[in-house]
Amino acid sequence: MTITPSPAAEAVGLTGARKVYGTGAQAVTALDELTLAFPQGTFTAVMGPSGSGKSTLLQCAAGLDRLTSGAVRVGGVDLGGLNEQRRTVLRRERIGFVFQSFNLVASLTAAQNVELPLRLAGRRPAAAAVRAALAEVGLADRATHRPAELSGGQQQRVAIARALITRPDVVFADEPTGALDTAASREVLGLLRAAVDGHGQTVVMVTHDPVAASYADEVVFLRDGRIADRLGGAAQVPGRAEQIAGLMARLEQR
Amino acid sequence: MIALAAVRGRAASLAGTFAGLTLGVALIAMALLVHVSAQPRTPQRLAAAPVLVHGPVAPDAAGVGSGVRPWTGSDAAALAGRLAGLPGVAAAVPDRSFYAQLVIGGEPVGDAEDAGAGHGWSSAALGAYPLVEGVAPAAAGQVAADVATGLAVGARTTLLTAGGPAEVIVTGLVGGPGVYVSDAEAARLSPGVPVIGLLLRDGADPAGAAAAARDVATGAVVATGEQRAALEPVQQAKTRWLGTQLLIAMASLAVFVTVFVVASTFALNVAQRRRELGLLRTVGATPRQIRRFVLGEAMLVGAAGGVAGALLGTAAAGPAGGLLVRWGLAEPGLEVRPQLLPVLAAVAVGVGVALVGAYAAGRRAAKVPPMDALREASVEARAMGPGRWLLGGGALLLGGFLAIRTAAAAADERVNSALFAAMALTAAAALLAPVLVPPLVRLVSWPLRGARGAGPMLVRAESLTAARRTAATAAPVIATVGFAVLLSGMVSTMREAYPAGQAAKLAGITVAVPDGTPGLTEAAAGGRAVLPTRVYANGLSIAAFGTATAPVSVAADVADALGVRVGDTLSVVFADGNAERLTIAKLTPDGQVDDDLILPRELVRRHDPSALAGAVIGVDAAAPAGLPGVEVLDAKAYADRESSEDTRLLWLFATVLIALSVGYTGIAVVNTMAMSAESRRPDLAVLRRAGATPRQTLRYAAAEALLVVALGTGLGLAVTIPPLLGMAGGLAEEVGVPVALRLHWPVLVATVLATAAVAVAATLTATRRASAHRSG
Ligand SMILES: Nc1ncnc2c1ncn2[C@@H]1O[C@H](COP(=O)(O)OP(=O)(O)OP(=O)(O)O)[C@@H](O)[C@H]1O
Ligand SMILES: [Mg+2]
Repeated sequence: MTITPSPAAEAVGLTGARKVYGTGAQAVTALDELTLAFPQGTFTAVMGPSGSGKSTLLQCAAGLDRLTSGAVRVGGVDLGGLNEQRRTVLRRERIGFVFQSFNLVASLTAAQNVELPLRLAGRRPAAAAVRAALAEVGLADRATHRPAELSGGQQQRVAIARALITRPDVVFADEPTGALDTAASREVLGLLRAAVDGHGQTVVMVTHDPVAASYADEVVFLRDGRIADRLGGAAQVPGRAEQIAGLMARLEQR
Repeated sequence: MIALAAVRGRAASLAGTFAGLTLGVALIAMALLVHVSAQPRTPQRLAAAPVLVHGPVAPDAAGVGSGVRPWTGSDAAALAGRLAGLPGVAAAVPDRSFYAQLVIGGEPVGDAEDAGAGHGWSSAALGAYPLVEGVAPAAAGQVAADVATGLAVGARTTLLTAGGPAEVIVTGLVGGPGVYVSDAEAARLSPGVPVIGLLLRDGADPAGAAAAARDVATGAVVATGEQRAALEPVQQAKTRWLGTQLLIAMASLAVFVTVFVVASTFALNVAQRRRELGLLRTVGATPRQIRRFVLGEAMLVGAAGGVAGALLGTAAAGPAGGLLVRWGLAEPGLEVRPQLLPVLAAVAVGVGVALVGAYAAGRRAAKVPPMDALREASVEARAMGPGRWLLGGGALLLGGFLAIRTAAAAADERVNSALFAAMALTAAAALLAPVLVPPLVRLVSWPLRGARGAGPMLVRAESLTAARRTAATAAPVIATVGFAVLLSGMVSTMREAYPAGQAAKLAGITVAVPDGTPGLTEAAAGGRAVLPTRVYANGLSIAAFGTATAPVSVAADVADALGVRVGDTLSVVFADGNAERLTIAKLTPDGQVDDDLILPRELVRRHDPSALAGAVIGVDAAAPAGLPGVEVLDAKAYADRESSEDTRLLWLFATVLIALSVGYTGIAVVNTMAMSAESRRPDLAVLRRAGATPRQTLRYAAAEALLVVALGTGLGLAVTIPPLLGMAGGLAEEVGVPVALRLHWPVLVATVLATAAVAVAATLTATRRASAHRSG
């Protein structure tokens, strides 16, 4: 990576993004001519009512799914011009992904799950690095456990360790705290915040929780596949969560 | 790492693939080991001659066996004279074989199939058979008999030769099989000499003698050691050919069923792991890497199954050889020795088959979009890709073509043609099942449509939405039912057809047939019966038939092999070593067996004094009365007798193949049912939470299994009907009476019931185990 991280540079950008599921009478427009950029080294929260297109936005921005029309750029590269193979390699190099659930390969241990992206890229994972990544999420002693032997929150943290181990430019997280209690949520959010502040990575997170959203530098509100509102300002300041909750409530009323 | 971990993590679901591969490799290894062990051997009666000199070996037009072109008696004598003068050679013995059979107490004794048990006395030395008692036969009317016959020196008895019965006196007893007459008498019965055996002086080197013999006997084959096996009797080559047919059928069935089992299990596997595969894609696995994981997994299972199969196959080869001998499909004395090369070949085939079977699944796995990891409910997207349509359609066309070709195939190719047609159609049914399943499910479950309970609704919905999984689960059932019904139906149809055809042709006619002998003598047959013999022309050994009236005619395919047309002259060497120039007057169309070359009867008799007639049709029942070795039958009895040996062999083939394929696909049924039940675990948990009792969930699972068996049975029947119809059509053409398609109901019903029982048992076990786990 030779691009110097300056706040202005865009890590991921969408232009005129449209995503239509299904055809004919069953067609659902999940993203409607959406234009949005996530600047490098920032933490963005995406909020909105259920079915507003948040997950779709994340998946398309991460190159996991293709847009119906419009363009996605990751680190300046237009994903539309790449085939599946090249897209996967780009994703592997630049993007980490954390889902709400079903994050881990059931037959692999926690450590093996974490080193998976490295192995897929044909690199030999250093045992120390894997240990460090697990230690960072507080699971150093669970390295040899399989997902079935971990709690939901622990699985979530393993997934975050995996998303971060390759130090990707962008981390997408779809409701990473949905299944966690307050303490575990705070830990996970702290990890994502640290990725932004400590390593200059870019984080885009979908959430329904105003408290979680208050960790972000910017909150984007979606409705019917369009941007309904945006909130900038400083992250984690007192009263921010309440402010976000207010905006959400207004959005849902309209 | 991932493939390995995946194998470890899902050992249970791979057990079926492993078992299938193990069995497949074991079968192939066993078939190969038996096959290489059953190679031709030097006949015991020539084993004491280290060097054998014989005429060129000519293959027959059909490629089943071969024959040795004989010399005339005088050429052989001259050659033997020259060979006897070579250094190290003690004697050069012209060896003759002809029909000779002793009659003791009015009954012909010895091997009823052996038309070459008679030899000149000097031949006894070639097997080092000692004269146990008495003196050697020196004149006509004298014989030396095998001590095992229990005859005494000086006994008077009857000797059957091609001319008919004659009174003889036993002058000596030999410590080996065969009937020995004086050399002069042998030369009269068999003027031609196919082989000259060289007996060496003590300490002489066979290789040196052979080299010297090669200089003297130009144009002849000089064989030492293993090479002498080319002189095995035709009967033995035929036995081996039959055995090889069974082994080939077994091995090809093993390959097909293994590919089938592996392909359907891996397809199911991939369908069930969509979420995991999608997850791998999201963390950066490329489609190519995913394909390699699946193939890597297949490779691991293939290698493990290959090694296990190699051991099992090697262990089973000995007993299998013994069985073949007992069934008359291999020569007694067959010794199956473990050998590395055939076993390695079987393992390679096993791994290759695993890869081929997993290939389509791997391709499909690579197409799983990363998004599938994110979907809560894993409902399959498209049931059929274009590749599957293409393959399925191709298999269907091929199967249809083969079924039609079955009707036109020659008698001895019909069974295999029908088998291949059924294989192609089975593959087509399995490939196209995802589109066939929904309408069939609707049809089968139609009567339950209005039912009140949740069960029918659930079962229907599940089989319909997961058409692909239902199809994969039904695939082994299709194969099981298909093969059992096809093979048993084939035998039932043929068993009806042949006797019916023969009886119709011969209605009201009596037939004289051999009784304990390989054929009818001139005395029994009269001057009218067809005389079979073997002739040599243009490098081929040809089955020729002497008939009273017909002009010289050649079967069309043999004419092609010989490169002759109507009006051409053909130089033919007869059993006595003499050549005749014949003008081809007619070509007979293909498709009828045993009439490669038709010659005037008297010409055959002139050149082959030991030719035996097969059967005489339309004899006066009283004519051969009192003659040994002949029996007179009416049309029905004759037809039954004729087909009984064929039927026995057919049943044998069918039984072995049914047992194989059913046992084999049974494993696949257990496997896919268990896997399918395993994958329903989350659904079961939901059902239980929604208020289903454990008994109810088990009932749903069992009902689903039964539905799948019903589907598979329907499709299995559908794939067998075209080949069976083709076969019935071909038979009707051949035997000239209408032949109805016959199913073997007991086998059919038993197979379906057994499959259903196995499927339900496997499903219930897996379901019970699944619900005992923590759900989720
Ligand atoms: N695979 C699909 N096929 C058809 N429609 C889909 C598919 N995935 C999503 N949709 C539809 O697209 C719209 C947006 O879905 P999306 O999952 O992006 O919503 P979301 O904002 O993430 O909702 P939630 O907060 O409930 O997760 C919804 O109306 C949904 O029904
Ligand atoms: Mg969502």
